[in-house]
Amino acid sequence: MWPFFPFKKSNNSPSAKTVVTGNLQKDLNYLKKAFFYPDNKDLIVREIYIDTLEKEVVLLFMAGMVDRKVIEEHVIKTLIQAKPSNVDSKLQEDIVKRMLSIQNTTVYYTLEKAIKGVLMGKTIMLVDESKKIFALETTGYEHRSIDKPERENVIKGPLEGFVESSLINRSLIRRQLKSKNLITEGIEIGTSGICEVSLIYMKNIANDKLVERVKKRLKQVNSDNVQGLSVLEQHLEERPYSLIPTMLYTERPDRAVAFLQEGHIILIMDNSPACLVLPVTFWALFHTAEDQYMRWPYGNFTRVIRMIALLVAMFTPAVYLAITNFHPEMIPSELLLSIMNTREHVPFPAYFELIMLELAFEILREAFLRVPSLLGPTIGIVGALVLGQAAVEAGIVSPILIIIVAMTGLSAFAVADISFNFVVRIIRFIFMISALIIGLYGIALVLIGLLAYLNTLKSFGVPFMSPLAPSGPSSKDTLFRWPVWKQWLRPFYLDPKDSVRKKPPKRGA
Amino acid sequence: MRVCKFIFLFLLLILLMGCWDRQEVEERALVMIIGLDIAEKGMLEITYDIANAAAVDPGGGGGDVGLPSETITFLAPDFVSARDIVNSSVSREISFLHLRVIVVSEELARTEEFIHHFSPVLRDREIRRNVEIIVSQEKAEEFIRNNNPKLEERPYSFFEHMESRWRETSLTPLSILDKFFQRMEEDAGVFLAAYATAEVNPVIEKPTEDEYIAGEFPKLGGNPTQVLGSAVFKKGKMIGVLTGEETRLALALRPDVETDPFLVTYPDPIDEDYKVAFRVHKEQHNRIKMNLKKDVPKINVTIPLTLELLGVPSLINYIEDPNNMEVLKDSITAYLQGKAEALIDRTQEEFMAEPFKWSQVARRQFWTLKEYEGYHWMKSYPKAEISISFEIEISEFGRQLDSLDLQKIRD
Repeated sequence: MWPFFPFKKSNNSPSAKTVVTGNLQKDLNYLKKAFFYPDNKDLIVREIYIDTLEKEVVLLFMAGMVDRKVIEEHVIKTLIQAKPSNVDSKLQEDIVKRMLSIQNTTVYYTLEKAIKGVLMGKTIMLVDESKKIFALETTGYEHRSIDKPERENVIKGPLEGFVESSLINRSLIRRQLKSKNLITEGIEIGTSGICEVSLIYMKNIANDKLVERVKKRLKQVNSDNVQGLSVLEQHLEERPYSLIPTMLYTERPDRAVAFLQEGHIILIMDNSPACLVLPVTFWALFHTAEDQYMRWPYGNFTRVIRMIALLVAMFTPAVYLAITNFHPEMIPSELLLSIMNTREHVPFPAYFELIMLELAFEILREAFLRVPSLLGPTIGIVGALVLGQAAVEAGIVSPILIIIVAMTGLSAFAVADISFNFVVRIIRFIFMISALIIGLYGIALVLIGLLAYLNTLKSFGVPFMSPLAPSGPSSKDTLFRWPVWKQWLRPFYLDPKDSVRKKPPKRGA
Repeated sequence: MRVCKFIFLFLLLILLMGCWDRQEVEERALVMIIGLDIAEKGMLEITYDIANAAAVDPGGGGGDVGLPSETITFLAPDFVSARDIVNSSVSREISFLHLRVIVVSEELARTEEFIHHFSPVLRDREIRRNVEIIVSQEKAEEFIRNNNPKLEERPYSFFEHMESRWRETSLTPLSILDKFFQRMEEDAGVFLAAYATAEVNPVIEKPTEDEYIAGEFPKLGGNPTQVLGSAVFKKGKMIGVLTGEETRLALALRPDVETDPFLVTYPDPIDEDYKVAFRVHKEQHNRIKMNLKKDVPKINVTIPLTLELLGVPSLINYIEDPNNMEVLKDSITAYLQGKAEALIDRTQEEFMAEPFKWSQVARRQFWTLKEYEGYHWMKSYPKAEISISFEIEISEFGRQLDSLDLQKIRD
């Protein structure tokens, strides 16, 4: 493991200072001070006197983090209207046991925990003369409703995407995978301890060592606030300077479920409309959900097309440079003559022309992300059509280059994964420069280097190119896939507890 | 440190291995056709036909785009190294990367000098081994300048298309550099090169349409260029010419199937005024038996041919009448036999070597290469006793079986 984040043991033993004293005013003052109470308007302090107990109770919660309805109807109302017959003794537990109709409560003994509880959206109940603090599960805040996935669209298959709520995301997964073996572990990360990551895996499939490894890595995160999965991904990476991503960021619950069933681990966090899948291989980044939803021939067809698009996106500009500048004997004479003819009017060398145009395309792409959506189509026409046409007519670029750049630009979009898309677009420039220096030999050189690197790369101990290299028993779901009934093995590289998905199909059955 | 080492090694890979011959496409002048003529002792008259890129107008903008190519002729001792001196008048780097055709004048090809002038093509990096060799009757320069294709935009594409026709018509052989040097280095047979001219001197009285050589075929209009028949090279020197028909026969006598079916007419055995049109399919390999043990080698060749009857202008019913069919078959067999024997006599007496690639079969009669080389196939061939037999089968008769009943129509 990379020793970037020295493991820091968090202090769990209650210090004398923060232990609940039992003195209501004293504890309350401590909490108020912690939240800068009168200044901070979001903290709500509600004092209630319970007649039957003849005790004062104080409720503390954060406005906006709690479900108001639950607090009003199930907490305050029941406490105020409690009838004497309901309470026999004056034990504080009875308040919880007999009076509150709340699904889940926890008991805290330190004020530090109470503060965290408030931050997580719980309602803290301080009872006079009690050394316990009750945390009532009233969390409920606004979030987006379940929507279609934005990036990973499918034509055939479920249309639900993850939203920003961890709870809802977990329910989306659990609904698709109804199994008692599906485990959700909550792990607090970071120094402040208010970021919780849900670690989800199949207890009967996922390898224990892998789960331990991921947990250990999660605990090494040494940051006070991890904003979401996209940031967490960067904390967890074992090779932070690598060009290649080693985790999959997907917004499709069905993909997450498919990975869970193979023995992968899923991470979910609040505020992230996605989940992280780890470990991953090259193929996980290359595949889309639809490959499996489509019938066998169609799924394979799209995969072949996508592979071609991937190669086109990486190599076309580089190969164009190499062939026209170093190996003009490789293209038909007619084509060469027409390239020569169009190049005749262009004042720049081919490499400058190409790199200029590629950069222009990347600029357009980046700019379009930020263009207000109302202006999008207008700017699109100006940017792409007018600019391209004018550049050719002005003799700054040759028309064949427009074809090449448009082709590569479009092909890059066939690569579904956003990280992988960046990899392809950056590598394209590396190929272009190597082709410029020494032609096809340079392309071959970089390609060999790239393949060698991909083969050394590991994602949480799993070789990146498996099950191709190293090879081992799996369902051979790589560039091609077999019909679903033939995919009865789980991939070996995850070393799953149960390596067989289902009984192997009988021949002729 | 490790990273530094890696980067250093990687840089070495690039810096030491590159050819550093990057050149923008528009900086190159593509020589498409080279013509070679004899000049004074030790010199060649060389013609370069350089394609003009501006003549391609993909936009269709019209206007004056200039000639499709620029043809320059000059004197130099060697046509490969002449590139630099040509740059005195051509502004771009002369490149042979897309060279298609080398035209050699018959006058030059018939000299002993020819092979000395020609061998540099083997060394040059840019010249491909599939460059076509054409022997022109007249001066190569004139041939290149007079060649004026009407259907193709560029002169070289005319030859490119011509080259792909050889397999279909087999009136000219496959004539490329690779085969030229292969035949020459085997030192066992002659090489057949395409024979061409752009000067038309028609000869009308020829018994069948394929007995012409280039320039003799009477026609009106179109490109004056004719590529027909073949020039025979022995040991790198041209020694004779084969007509179109002889070229066809020579290709058919080769052990393997080298050509596609071709169209031909044979004399009508019953009505002498007419011919019968056929498509000749050679579908099976020839069966060649050799006995090289004795002083006089014996060679026995059986050529199976399948004929498809296409036209009977005499309207004689050859198809439904089995007797007529037999007559037709026998006459064609005899006709081909006569032609083949005449050709073999010519090769044995005039060329003293064979264009039939029979050496490939002869080689198999020996246990070691040394024995074969000691046998001297080229020297033994002229005294060989050769018997040819054709196995003719007339199998297809076009779309309709019976001929027109002219009698009935005229009534």
